[in-house]
Amino acid sequence: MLSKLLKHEFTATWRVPVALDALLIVLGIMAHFVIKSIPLVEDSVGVYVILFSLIAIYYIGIIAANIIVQIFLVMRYYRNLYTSEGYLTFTLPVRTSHIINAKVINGYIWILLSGICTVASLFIAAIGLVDAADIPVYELREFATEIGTLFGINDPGFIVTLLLTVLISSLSAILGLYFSVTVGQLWQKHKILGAVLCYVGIYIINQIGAQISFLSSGYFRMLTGSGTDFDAAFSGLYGRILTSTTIFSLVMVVIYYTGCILITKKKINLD
Amino acid sequence: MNDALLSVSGLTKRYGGMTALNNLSFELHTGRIIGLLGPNGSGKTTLIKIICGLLQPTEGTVTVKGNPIGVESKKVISYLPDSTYLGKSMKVSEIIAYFRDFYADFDEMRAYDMLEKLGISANDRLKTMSKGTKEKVQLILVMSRRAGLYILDEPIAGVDPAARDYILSTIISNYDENASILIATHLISDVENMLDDVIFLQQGNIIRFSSVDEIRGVDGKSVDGLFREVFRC
Amino acid sequence: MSWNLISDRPIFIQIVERIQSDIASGALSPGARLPSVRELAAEASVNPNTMQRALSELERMGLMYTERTSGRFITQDADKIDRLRQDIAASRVHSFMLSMKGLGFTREETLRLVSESNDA
Repeated sequence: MLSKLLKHEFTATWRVPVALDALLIVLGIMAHFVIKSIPLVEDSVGVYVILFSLIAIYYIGIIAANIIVQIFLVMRYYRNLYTSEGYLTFTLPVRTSHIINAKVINGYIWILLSGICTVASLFIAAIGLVDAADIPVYELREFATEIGTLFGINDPGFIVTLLLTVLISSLSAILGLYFSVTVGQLWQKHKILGAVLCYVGIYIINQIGAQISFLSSGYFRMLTGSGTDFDAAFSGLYGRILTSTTIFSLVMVVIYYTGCILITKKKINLD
Repeated sequence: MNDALLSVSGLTKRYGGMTALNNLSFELHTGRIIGLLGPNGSGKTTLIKIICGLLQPTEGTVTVKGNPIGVESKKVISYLPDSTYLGKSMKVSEIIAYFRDFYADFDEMRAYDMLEKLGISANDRLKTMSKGTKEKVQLILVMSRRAGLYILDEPIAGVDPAARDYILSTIISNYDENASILIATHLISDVENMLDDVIFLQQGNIIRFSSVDEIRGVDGKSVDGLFREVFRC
Repeated sequence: MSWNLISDRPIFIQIVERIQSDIASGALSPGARLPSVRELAAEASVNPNTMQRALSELERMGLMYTERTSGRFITQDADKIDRLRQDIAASRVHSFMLSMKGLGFTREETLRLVSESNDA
């Protein structure tokens, strides 16, 4: 039954995220040409202002596209479960956990895909910068290696950690949204307000969690430490920050998921 | 071994200090059409939603063919809510596919047949339909299942006489012979000729559960007449 | 076609009477095949069980018969249909005379009014 739920979830949702992901790529290509054209244009302040405004709009655009995907998914979750559509969803002869799982898996896929498209878009735009600055490829590679060594992010371990961080924080993002809606419907009135408040609450908790991860990774020690171990402290810093943030996200994922399942199973009240 | 189709025992639902259902116990058996009758706010919809698994009871148990509310009970019950529950952007063919995928007892041919008679095609979208047509589509979906228990919440509230005749005749011509129908309404005179039994619900209490023959024979009244007498304001 | 069933008399009896009068008037012609119980019930908005009981009663009266494979038919027995017409007429006359009596007309006055009537 999970596969059938997923199939219908997918067919009901694919249009909006796919359109926004396509937009991300198109924006990236447009930004690429705008950036590339910087050295070619006339040396006037007015033209530069226009070009840099376009680039700013590009950044706002990619952030907006990602937020719209998330809002679309969470609205679908709310509508499909907690409005009159829920009368059909919750009278299907399927397990409640399967209903939630289908929504989580589908939402996760779309969040990841828009993440990938965002990175691709930024990459396409950045190539424009490289072209514009006319940097030879080998210099660029050397530069990247130096930066990598400085931050300690060149070893494969770091890449794996980074990948895990992205995977788990994306899951945490979508589950956090679903969890807020689920908690919000516990209120008899003001269900949406309840969801928003819950989201603000978990946002604050996440910020505190991030701060703790940051501090516990040795950032503070690095700032106050003596010169001799500065390099050593600095080189592994980003890896450590990622690891502790990931562990924190993982804990939140477990809380969100268990919360969604338990509340939906035991406390469903569609008035 | 209890052979009841639906068994409700000690069922109570409270909202804060307000008691919506007060310690209800009754059983429904197969092959009956039962009217769940009561004025607005008497608890009809609350009771139905608990049976369908959309509300959690405060106390008490509900079983359907011996199973608690869950996957097994939902396979047996075909539920028509008192509002539209279909996604607006869906096409008729998508909704039919949805029902076919999830309900093993859904008769796709029967559904398309009835839709065709109403002049509704598979490619029509729900948002292009009038409220009345949407309600008919929903009824067709619900009645195209070969279910064990049909639960219909106010199927004829707020419809014109022609639509009412269509709805009632669709229900009668399509329900499975061995099934039962629980039909909640406050429009008693429109449905009383099709009822076997009636449940009178008042402020969350069952004040009468008897067969229509008994009401006509013993009380010498129509169900509508008795209802007006019991619920006189 | 509306069945106009009223709700304070047993539905089953009203259905029987309704079909009887249709047979007597020829609206249901001798030998005609009846729709299924389900269809008739849907048309009259009554419980199929009630419709079934009414049809069984009409069968018991010999006004219709069932052929196992092809369905239910109106009797072709002309004598039986004629007797039914007579019975219905007698009972309507009876209730008419009673109601006229209730209005204070004597039997003679009633008969005179009937013979002077321009109806039908």
